[in-house]
This record gives sequence, C-alpha cells and structure tokens, in this order.
Amino acid sequence: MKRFLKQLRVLVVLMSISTFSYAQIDFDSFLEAGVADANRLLELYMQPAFEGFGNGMNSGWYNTAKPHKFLGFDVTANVSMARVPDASRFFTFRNSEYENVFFAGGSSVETPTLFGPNLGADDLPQLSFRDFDDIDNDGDFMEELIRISAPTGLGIDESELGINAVPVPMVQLGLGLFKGTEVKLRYIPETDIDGEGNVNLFGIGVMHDIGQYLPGEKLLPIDLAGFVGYTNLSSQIYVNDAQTQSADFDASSWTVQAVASKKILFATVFAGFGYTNYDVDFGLNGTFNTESETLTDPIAFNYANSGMRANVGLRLKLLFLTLHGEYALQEFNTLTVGVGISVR
Amino acid sequence: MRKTLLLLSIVSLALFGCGEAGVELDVTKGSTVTIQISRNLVNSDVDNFFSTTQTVNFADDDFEEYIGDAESVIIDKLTYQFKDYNNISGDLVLMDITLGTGSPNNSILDVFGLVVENTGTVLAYETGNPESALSAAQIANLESLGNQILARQNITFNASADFTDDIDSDFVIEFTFDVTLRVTGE
Repeated sequence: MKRFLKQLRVLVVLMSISTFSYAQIDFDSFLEAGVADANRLLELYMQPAFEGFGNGMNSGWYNTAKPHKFLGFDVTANVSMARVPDASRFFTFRNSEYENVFFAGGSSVETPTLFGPNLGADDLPQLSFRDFDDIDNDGDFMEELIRISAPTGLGIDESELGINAVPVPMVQLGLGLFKGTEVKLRYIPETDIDGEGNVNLFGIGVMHDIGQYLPGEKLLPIDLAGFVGYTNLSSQIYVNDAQTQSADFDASSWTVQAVASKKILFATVFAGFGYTNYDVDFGLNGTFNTESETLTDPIAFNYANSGMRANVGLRLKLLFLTLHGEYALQEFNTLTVGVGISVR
Repeated sequence: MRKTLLLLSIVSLALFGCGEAGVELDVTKGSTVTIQISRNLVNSDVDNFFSTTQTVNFADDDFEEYIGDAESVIIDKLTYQFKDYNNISGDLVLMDITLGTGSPNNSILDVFGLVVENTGTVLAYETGNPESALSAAQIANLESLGNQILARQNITFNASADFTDDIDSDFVIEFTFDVTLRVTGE
C-alpha cells in the first residue's frame, strides 16, 4: 500500500503539477549528451505521459445532458485515468535520430517509455555515449565513452494500481443560467507548491439544451445538449534552489460534444460524441552549464493531437449527492469516476 | 565529464523507484591500465626483463558519479593492445607478459611467446566466451577486483615483460577492463 501511495503521488505530481522537482532529476547531467539528443530521448520517453494527460483533461466535464435550472449548481470532483495503449509502452530508439548516443547492437532497439514495464538491468538495452568532447584528448570523437542501461518504465500495470493509465484529477463548478444554458468552471489560482514552484488551472465550458429547439421537445424521451469546453493547466517547477531554472508545463485542451442522457429514477445514463484537441508544451528553461558549454532554455517539446471522442456513463443521484462514472473511447481510452453535490 | 550523460537513465533513477522492482541499471565503461615499456630499461637488463607496478582507483577515476549507488561490480571483459612500437631493425623479438595485482601477486593474465609488434585489441577474457585465455584461478582473481572497486580501494597492478632480445623502441601496453556497475535505486 505504501508503494501504491508512492506511485500515485509520483503520477499525480508527474502529470498535474510536474514531476521534475520531486523527481530530483539532474538536468545538468541530461544535457551532457547534447541538446538535440536530450530533447529527442526525453520527448519519446515521456510521450505517453503527456499525451495521456492531454486526453484526460477532456474528460469529466458532464454527467448529464440536462443543464441546471437557473442558479442551480454542482461542485464535482473527478479523477480521469487515461489508459496508455500497449503500443505506447515502448518506443523505438533509432541510431539515425541521435548524434552522440547509439545502440551498439544494431540500428535500433525497443526500449520502455515512462509508462512501460519496469525492467531490470539484464532486460534493458544499453545505450552508448560517444566521447564527443574528446575527454581523453586522443582526437577520436566517435569512440564509446560509457554504456548505460536505457531508462526503464514505471511498471504501473504491474503494481497494485493494476491499470497502466495517466491520472488527471479535476474539480469543477457547474452553474445554471437561463434558457437551458449552464456554465462550467475549472479554476485554481496561481498556487505556490511548497516554494518549489507553482500551478494554475483555468477551464470553462458551456452546455446548452438543444432539445428545446426541436419540434415536439416534450415528447423526446431523452435530454439533448451541446457542450464546448476548454481547459488550460500551467505549472512551473524550480529545478535549482536559486529558482533560476525551471521545468515548465503548459497543457491546453478543448472539446466539442453532443450529449444525450436519460434519467430513470435516481440513475442517469449519458453518452456523448464529438471532437477533441489537446496541446501540451514542456520546456526546461533557464541557463544550464555543462562541462563544455552554457545552454539557455535547452529543452522544449510539444505534443498535440485531435480526434473523435465518444463516451458513455452513468450518474447516480441521491438527494444532493452525485456519483458518476464514464468511459471514453479516444486516442487514450479514459475511465473517469467522480463525486459531487448537485442542486437544482 | 565524469558526470556523464545518462540522459534518461537518470530519469529512472530519479523517479525514486516507482516500480515493484525499483530501478536497476548497468553502467559500463572501459577502464584502462597503461604500461609504458622503456627500451633503455629493457635493453640494459641482462635478461631483457622489465617490470613495473601501477596503482589505480577505478572507482574514483572512472565511476565517481555512480559508485555510491552501486550494488555490485563485475568485470565482463579484459583486452590488451600493444601500441607505438617502432621495429627499426626488423628483428623478430618475442616476449612473455604477466599481469597481476597485490602483494603477494594474484595472477590475472600470463601470455607467452608474443611477437613484439603493434597489435589491435586482443581479447583475453570475456564472460561466457570459451576462447578466454585466463585460467579458473585467474578469472577468480579478476572477479575479486570487482569487490575492490566496489569498496573504492586502490588496486596495485604488477606487470612484467620478459623479452628474448633487445627491443628497438619504447612502446605501450594497454590493458582494458570492461567494468560494469549494477546500480539500484529504491
């Protein structure tokens, strides 16, 4: 259990606030491999984590197609688990994509991503680093300087968690306005994280009852709504004590959905279909000194994707208390569970 | 740049052991002992015999960044190479070389009847390779070096070369040990 909690903490920190302070990563050492190689390796290794986060951000917006009545509201907390596809458990390290790092056993090798299996050293390929700074002054910049096991994965699916997924926690407020319109807000003001960085979140969504425009609305057996939502999360984690170096994470997503739901007693079945998009930037900013050079803002990469999303879910409402769950089919299929208070 | 570029290996370490098995990785590097053979010393000896000792600390010299987290140290391979010999006379000279450690000497390598000439890298021992030139006792001595490295001890190498005749120039013998540190993290 202790290990599970540690894993959960790491994952939550990793994705929603950024791991890079807690992880105590020695970025200076990273950069000794050269900026281009460091970017490429990090980008591929971290890819499922960032993409999973992007998928997870678009989940949990709604659990019914019926907007609140005027000044009705809900406060809802969700955790979305964006399941990492099996194909994203490994990435292909290709020698042709790197300058100073290579796999000596062939032109390419499969190696775990962050969300890959937790392999021991005997099962991991070794990556070789060239003496590109000619440390031994022999004029040979291509010789192998050192060989190190490729990074292993977290092995999340092997743990008590039992599902290889990126967790995305979220809290939001829904408020009924007029003419079948409801606005949803996700908001965390810029918040200091124990002096190690900060995080802020903003999201806004609008749900509008479209059933009211259809002839014979009263005869419709279901509620129908359109929904548009946008979420942005930014965080900055200081890498050094002087707070001149930071790992910066900025993720935004939006979704457009058609939503239908049917209430039967205290249960509401809902489903949605539409289009989603996410855009995640990660950067390592500041001035970093390697043994051979000074680098400014050396790491930057971006993950972006868009596609169709369909989901189905169930909400239970007991007086003001709501419990809900949904499963979304998208790039990273996502399971969301949540609890909330809903009035009117 | 001993502080080497582990790129993502460091990530794994840094994630403070999230998997059931924690984090485990190997760091492998060739650590070299270089013996300078002096023509004057060889030729001035009535038996054309040369010997020297050299003290090294592989842990601090080559693995400073990692040795503190190492769980075990293994020597996977031993190679040697002759370099920089200038055979001016064209005469054929043979030599026997020995390499050992400590006092009394624990033999690691004995090679007899070698032609004195520049060579490429010659494999003396490799884990699992039946072509090894080392005896079982020598392999055991080699393996014990791993423990000395893990303990960050200095290692004193005793090297000797016995020639059949005078030699034409100084030259170098490089003994290279492929040292693998098994590093673990919780």
